[in-house]
Amino acid sequence: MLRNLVGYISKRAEARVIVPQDEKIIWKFNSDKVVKEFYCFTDADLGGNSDGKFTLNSQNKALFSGTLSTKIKPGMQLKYTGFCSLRSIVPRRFPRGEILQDWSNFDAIEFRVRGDGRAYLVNLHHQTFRPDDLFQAFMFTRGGPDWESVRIPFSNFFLANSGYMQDKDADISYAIARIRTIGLLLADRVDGPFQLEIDNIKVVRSAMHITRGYHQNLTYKVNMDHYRKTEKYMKKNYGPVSG
Amino acid sequence: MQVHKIRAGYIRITNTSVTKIITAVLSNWNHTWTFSRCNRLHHGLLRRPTMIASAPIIVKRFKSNDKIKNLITVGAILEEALQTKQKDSFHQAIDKFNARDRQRRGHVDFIYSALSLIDKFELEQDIETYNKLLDVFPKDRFVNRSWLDVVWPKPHPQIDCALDVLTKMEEEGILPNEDTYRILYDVFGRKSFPLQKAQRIEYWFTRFKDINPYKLPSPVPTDPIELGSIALQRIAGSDGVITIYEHDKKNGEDKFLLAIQSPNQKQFLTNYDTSKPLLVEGPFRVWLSKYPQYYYVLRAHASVQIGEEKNEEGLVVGTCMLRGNNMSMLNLWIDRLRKEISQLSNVEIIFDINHSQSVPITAEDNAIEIER
Repeated sequence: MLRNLVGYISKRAEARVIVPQDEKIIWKFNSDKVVKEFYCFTDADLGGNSDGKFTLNSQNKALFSGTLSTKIKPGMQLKYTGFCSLRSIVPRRFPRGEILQDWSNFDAIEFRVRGDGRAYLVNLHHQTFRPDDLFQAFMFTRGGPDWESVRIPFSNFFLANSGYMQDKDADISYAIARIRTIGLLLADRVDGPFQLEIDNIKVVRSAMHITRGYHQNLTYKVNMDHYRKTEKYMKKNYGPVSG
Repeated sequence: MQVHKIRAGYIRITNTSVTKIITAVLSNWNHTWTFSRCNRLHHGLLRRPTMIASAPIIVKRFKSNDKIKNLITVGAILEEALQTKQKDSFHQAIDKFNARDRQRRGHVDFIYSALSLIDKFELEQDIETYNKLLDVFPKDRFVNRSWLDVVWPKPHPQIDCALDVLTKMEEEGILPNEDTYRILYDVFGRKSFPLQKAQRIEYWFTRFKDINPYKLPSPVPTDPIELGSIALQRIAGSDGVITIYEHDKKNGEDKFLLAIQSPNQKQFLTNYDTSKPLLVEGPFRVWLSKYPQYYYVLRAHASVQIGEEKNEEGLVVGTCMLRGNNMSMLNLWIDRLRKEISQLSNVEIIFDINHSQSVPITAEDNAIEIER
């Protein structure tokens, strides 16, 4: 079933497909029930000093807060420590199996956040026989009293395995079709408290998109059924192509 | 070429290779055709040119006494350098170690000790120091000589040592040099882990060089007013106007009041409904890389509608940062604002300090800021 057709086109024959904009809200943090779909784990489980929690604050927004500590206790056998992370719980299907997310029709992930100026890492975990594989991308927050929408295109994500960035070209399109969990990680090696308020998380598709590949190849993605829909849409609204 | 007799019937040959023995033996025959043939054999089989300072094939095993003696002398060299904490003394200590013996015995211990002392010499950002430290490894000894070394690699502790040096470079954010690559190639070979790591450092650092949209100028300013200005510009936007209302230094204590307000915010205040109060909230924290900055915010009341969107919190109309007695400084700020915008003199100001979302600023936090 050719749902997606991926074409590699040279710069000379660059074509842009106009696809209608779309977005899908995956999580909107306005109730305790949604907040409980995430769990927070820090290096306290491994013997470290950091602490973190994910709660709903008085203005009905999710708050990821705590303190990061890179202090190594004398008995620990670690060289580096200090991380706080948030991960969504995978919903399970009865009688067995997991419900995976499919975002192949979208280009980017968008967070509506009010951060404190720290750099967080967005982790996308997908179904794979390598459980330590993680697609990661940096999310820089502005800080200050205003809310901001941080949009991270999927092409910005790089592949990492147990914290080490991988060399090989990793095309995220295969992972986007089978997302298990999404998470946020703070590990910027700065001791101190942090807080990040999240309003919602959504995936978006922009009207016109050219995806840049991992190694800067110019690629673009054509969704076949959307292409057909677009033709209909264009004919309906703009009339038949003349000339 | 040295020949040692170790046990009856066995000889150990050091500082050479098998082909050299053959040529040495054959060259005694004085037959030109064999000699030239052996020369070609010599050049054909040898994959790497033998270096002058190449190590013997058999490594002398340390006795425990020797190791402790070595550690003591290594420590002594570095302690001498610690007396004058300068780049020259550190480099001279490395030169002294290199001059001790050709095989550089105990170089792993020396490199680890020197690495732990780089911070004390304040040479973390200096690429030449790291290159000089990597130069301590004896050359051409840990290179893979055949496919057998690739399939069954020898677990040299020197590889872990080099990786630790490169990890420290990575943490400080330094790119490897041409010299780094040359040294690592000579020591470990073309497809070795340390050389691969140096390549990865360069690739990822150049790839992520410009991804931070909120990058601070380098070197990061240490003056609290400069840092505060950067934080305030980030909060209020590029069209904000920063005013320093008060700045005096007495008895080593800095006291200042920095405020920012954009023209739009000012205009909003001139048209403000004077029956509604204004709120001063704070302190809130914003991080500039590793420096926390604390700011207070002047907000319109939440019931004042702006535009079509529903707003749960009031619009921000001014931001300030201060050092010193909190309440007196905030009052000063409000007084100055009232002077500038006459409509505010009748408006009620509510102070909401130690707001639930904020962290109380204590004298300790202030001290930490000054130290950094």
